[in-house]
Amino acid sequence: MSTILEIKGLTKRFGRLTAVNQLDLTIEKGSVFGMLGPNGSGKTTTLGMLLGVTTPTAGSFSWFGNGHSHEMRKNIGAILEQPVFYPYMTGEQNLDLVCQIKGAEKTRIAEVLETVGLSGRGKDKFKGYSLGMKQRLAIAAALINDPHVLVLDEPTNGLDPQGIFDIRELIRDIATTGKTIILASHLLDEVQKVCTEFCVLQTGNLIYKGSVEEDFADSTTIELVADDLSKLKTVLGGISGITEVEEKDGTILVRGEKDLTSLTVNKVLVEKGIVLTHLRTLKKSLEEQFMEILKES
Amino acid sequence: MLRLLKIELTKLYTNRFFKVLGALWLFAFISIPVAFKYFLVWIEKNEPTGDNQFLKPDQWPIFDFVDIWQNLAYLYKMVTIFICFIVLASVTNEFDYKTIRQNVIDGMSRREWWLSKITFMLAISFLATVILAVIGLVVGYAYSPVTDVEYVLRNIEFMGAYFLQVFYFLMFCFVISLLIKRAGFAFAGILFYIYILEPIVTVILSEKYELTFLADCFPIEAGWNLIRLPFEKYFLMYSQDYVAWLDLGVAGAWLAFFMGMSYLLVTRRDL
Ligand SMILES: Nc1ncnc2c1ncn2[C@@H]1O[C@H](COP(=O)(O)OP(=O)(O)OP(=O)(O)O)[C@@H](O)[C@H]1O
Ligand SMILES: [Mg+2]
Repeated sequence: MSTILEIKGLTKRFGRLTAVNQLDLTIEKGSVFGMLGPNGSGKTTTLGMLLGVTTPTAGSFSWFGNGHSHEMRKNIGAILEQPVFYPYMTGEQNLDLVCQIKGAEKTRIAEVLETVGLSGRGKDKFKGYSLGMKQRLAIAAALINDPHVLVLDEPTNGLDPQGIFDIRELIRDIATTGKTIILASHLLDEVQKVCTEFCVLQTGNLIYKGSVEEDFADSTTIELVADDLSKLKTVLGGISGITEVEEKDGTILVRGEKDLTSLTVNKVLVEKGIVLTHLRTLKKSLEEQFMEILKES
Repeated sequence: MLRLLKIELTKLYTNRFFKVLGALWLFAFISIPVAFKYFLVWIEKNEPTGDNQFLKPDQWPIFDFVDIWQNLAYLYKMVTIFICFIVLASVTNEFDYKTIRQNVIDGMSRREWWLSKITFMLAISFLATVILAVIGLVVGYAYSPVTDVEYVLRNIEFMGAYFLQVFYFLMFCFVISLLIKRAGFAFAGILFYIYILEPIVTVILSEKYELTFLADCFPIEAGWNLIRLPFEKYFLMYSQDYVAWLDLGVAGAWLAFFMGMSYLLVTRRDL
């Protein structure tokens, strides 16, 4: 894997406020990288520096192992904060302008409108679009030059559930074409659903970096109670797929891999002649995990 | 350069307001000289100058060769206001819509963004000069008693001065728009400065303290001075009928300042 983006000691101060503090990050080609963090944690500021609109106070970054220049940005499709277009122009005219700036083929306009499901509305003025349509047009514009990298800052902000679902599907589809995607969001669920790697920012500091697979895997926790707790514990220890058995307030808590279900556990227990008085499957919510990360820092 | 001009034009021709302003601008080139001629006739009719040695206003040879270039260039100085509106609205729009930021994100350098605006303003100044030339020749050949090439070509330095003047005022609006960023405030600021602040200050300087040159160094005054009022000579007073090097120097200095200032404002700030 080659490196798409390398950030070293990137810092931005607004007067006395340090919005981004000594950020170091490396993003590999083909990954879908989530940037998580509560409001005001510096996500947009970081992306703004990477995209040449905010001047860093200190530090450096390099796209494609090659420094940074406006020419490179032609190969990066990016939306920062909200869809930005000329309201008096139609969708097509706006895309045409982006084509001219990026040096893309005009034939791409119809193609990307098709990709984001806006084919019928290209001739309508941007100011008449619904929020969802604006977001779609922004993604269309980001895709127009068939970029190597997509940078999306809260692309599902303000959308209805259907819109959120559609945009996420779209992002996942794009990810399968091998493009690198950098996605900033404060929605954990979003990052978990579309990203392969993620980092967490808090008040400008990088406090966590890891892989979604490992950290946000849907671990299963099962709560069990039986008359003979010690026997129950020994039997549970022998079941494959269970990683942890813990006794807590007269209840046994069992943690295991994703595919562990109460059904399989119960089957084994019945075979061994253990009768349960209580059985419940718990899922640890992503919010809980996220809060843990924030608290630990 | 051509690519940048095309980008700027795409932003403008898709906007109805800008198209209307552009049409008014073109229309003004024809209507202003006509209106001025009727104005002179109207003056003569309402306030007859009677029998004296002065030329009657309706007899002024305003469209005769030699005189025509300065006269037209002077009359056309107000025409640029329509393009000033376009520059002001289009630049402040870019901040309002945040499209300047998106343009940069999409792959324009800030320098290119600046150049796209500059190129547009240069193109407009060039077009205005061509229109001045065409109308000058057509009207001149139609009305002027003398049409020798020598006379036709004399005083065409005013064409160069006109080109500079148009570019100068567009640049002035560009800098103010970049500084203020909000259409309403920029518009009010420009009007206040042009019609209230600078006239008061320059009148005080030149009338009370007799510091005429200092008054001429104020930016709006310096811009107007590229083409001085030509009509006084028709009632036997003196009027400067050439482009003075000193006027050029003062305006040139301001223009250089506008260029540098706008460049810094576009390239140095966070978007
Ligand atoms: N132009 C600016 N001037 C002053 N402070 C700023 C500016 N831009 C951002 N900030 C501050 O920098 C900090 C980080 O802001 P930023 O927009 O990067 O957060 P974010 O992580 O994108 O938040 P959100 O999830 O709300 O979009 C905030 O405290 C914000 O107030
Ligand atoms: Mg943000």
